[in-house]
Amino acid sequence: MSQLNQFLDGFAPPPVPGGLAARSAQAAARLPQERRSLMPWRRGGSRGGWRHGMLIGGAALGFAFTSAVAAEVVSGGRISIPIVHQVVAAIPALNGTHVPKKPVQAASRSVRPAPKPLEAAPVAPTPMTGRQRLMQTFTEAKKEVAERRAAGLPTPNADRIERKAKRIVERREAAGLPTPSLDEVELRLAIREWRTMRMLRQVARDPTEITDVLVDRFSRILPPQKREQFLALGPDQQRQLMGRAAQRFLARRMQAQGQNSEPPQIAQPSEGLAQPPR
Amino acid sequence: MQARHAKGGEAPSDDGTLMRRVASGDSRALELVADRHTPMLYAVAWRMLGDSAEAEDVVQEAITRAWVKAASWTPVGGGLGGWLRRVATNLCIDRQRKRAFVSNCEIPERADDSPNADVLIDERRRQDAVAVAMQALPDRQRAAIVLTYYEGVSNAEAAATLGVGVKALESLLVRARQGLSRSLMAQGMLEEGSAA
Repeated sequence: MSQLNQFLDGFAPPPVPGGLAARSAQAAARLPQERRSLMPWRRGGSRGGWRHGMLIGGAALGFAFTSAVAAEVVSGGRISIPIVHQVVAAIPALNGTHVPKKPVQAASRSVRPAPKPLEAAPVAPTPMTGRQRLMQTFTEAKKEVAERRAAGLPTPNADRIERKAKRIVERREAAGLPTPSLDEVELRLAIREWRTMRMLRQVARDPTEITDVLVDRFSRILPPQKREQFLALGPDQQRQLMGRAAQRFLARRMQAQGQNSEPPQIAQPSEGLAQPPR
Repeated sequence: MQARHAKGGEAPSDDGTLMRRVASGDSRALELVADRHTPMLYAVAWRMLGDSAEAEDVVQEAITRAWVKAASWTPVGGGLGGWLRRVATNLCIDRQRKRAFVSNCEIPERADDSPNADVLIDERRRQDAVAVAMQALPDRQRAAIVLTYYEGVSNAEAAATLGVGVKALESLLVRARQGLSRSLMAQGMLEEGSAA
C-alpha cells in the first residue's frame, strides 16, 4: 500500500452524533410530500431523460405530416412534397378543392399572347473537388503506366512508388496500425513526389528567387541530422546550398532516366505518377 | 447487520418496499431509511466538507429529499443508497461552492496531558494534514476520491453520481491523488517519491 493510501486511511470521520437519524426523519416527516405525477415526462434518474419517446416522436411525426398536407393543399399544388403529394393525390376530396378557380375575364379584353416557354439554361458541369481531380489524374496515370508496361517500356518512377507503398502497407499491417488501401498510399506518395519535384525545379530554375516558404519545404525533405545542419546555416548560405543541391539532384535524376532509355525529362509526365494534378 | 436496522422489532424491508411505504406517508418507514443510511451519508458529507455541523445538515437535507420525493423515486443504479449518496454529494458540492474555503492549517494543537499524548498528537496532525489536503482539492476531485476510495463505489456508479463519463472520472481520480500527494508533501508529511 502506498504511503498516500496510509494517510487516506487515517482520515476517518468521527462517530455519527447520537439521534441524528431520528432527528432527521422527524424533521423531514413534518414537511409535505410531492405527489407523483400520473404521467411524468422526464425520467427520475440523474440524467433525467425523456419518457414516452414513441408517443412524443409519433406526435411530432403526425404534426409534421399534417402540416405538410396542409401546405400542399393550400398552395394549390405549387409545393410538391414527395410522399405527401402522392397521399394528397390519392384523396379525391383534397384533390378537387385545392385547384384555384380562374377568374372570369371580360370578353372585350384583348387576349395576350402566351409567353414563350423559357428554354432551360444549359446545366453547368458540377466542379470537381480537389480530391476528385487528384483521383482522376491518378487513375489516368495508372492506366498509362499499365499501357507502358504492356508495351514493355520501363516505368521506374511508378515501380519505385509501388515498392515504397507496399513496404509502408506491410509495415503498418504488421504493427497492427490502421492501414489505408495500397492505392491510397500510392496516391499520397505520388502527390508528395510531385510536390518535391515541383519545389526542386523551382529552386533550380532561379536560385535568387528562393522564398522562405521554399526554404521551409526544402528543410522538411531532408533527413533529421542534415535538417539540423541546414537550419543552423544563415539565410544566404541556405539558399546557395538549396540551389546547388537541387541542380545536382535534377542532373542525377536526368542522368538516371537517360540510362533507363527514358526521355530526358524530370518526373516523366507520360509515366504518370509524378504528374501534377490539374 | 439487518437486525441493527430493524426499528422496534419491525422486520427489515428492502429499499423499494420501504420507499413505497415512505411515499404513502409512513414516517416509521422513513426512520428505518434514515437509520440505515445515516452513517454512510454522514461519512460522505464529513469527508467532503470537513465539518461535523455541516455534515449533519447535509444528512438531514438528504433524508428530507427522500421524504419529499419518495413518490417519484424509482429503484435505478445503486438503489436507494446510491440515490441518497448522489443527493448528499451534490448537496456538499453546492455548499462548497457557496462558502469560502477556510484553511485549518493554522489551528493550534491543543495541549494534552494524557499518557499517549505524543501519539495522539501525531495522529491528529496526520488527520489535519489530510483534511487540509482534501479541502484544497477541487469539488469534483474530492467527491471522486470520497466516493471511490472511502465509499467503495464502482467507477461507473461514481461517474453517474457526478454526471461525468468513466474516463473523466478516472482522470479526476488521478488528478486528485496527485493533488493530495503534492499537498501532503508541501506540509512535510509525505516524502517525495513515496506517494506512488
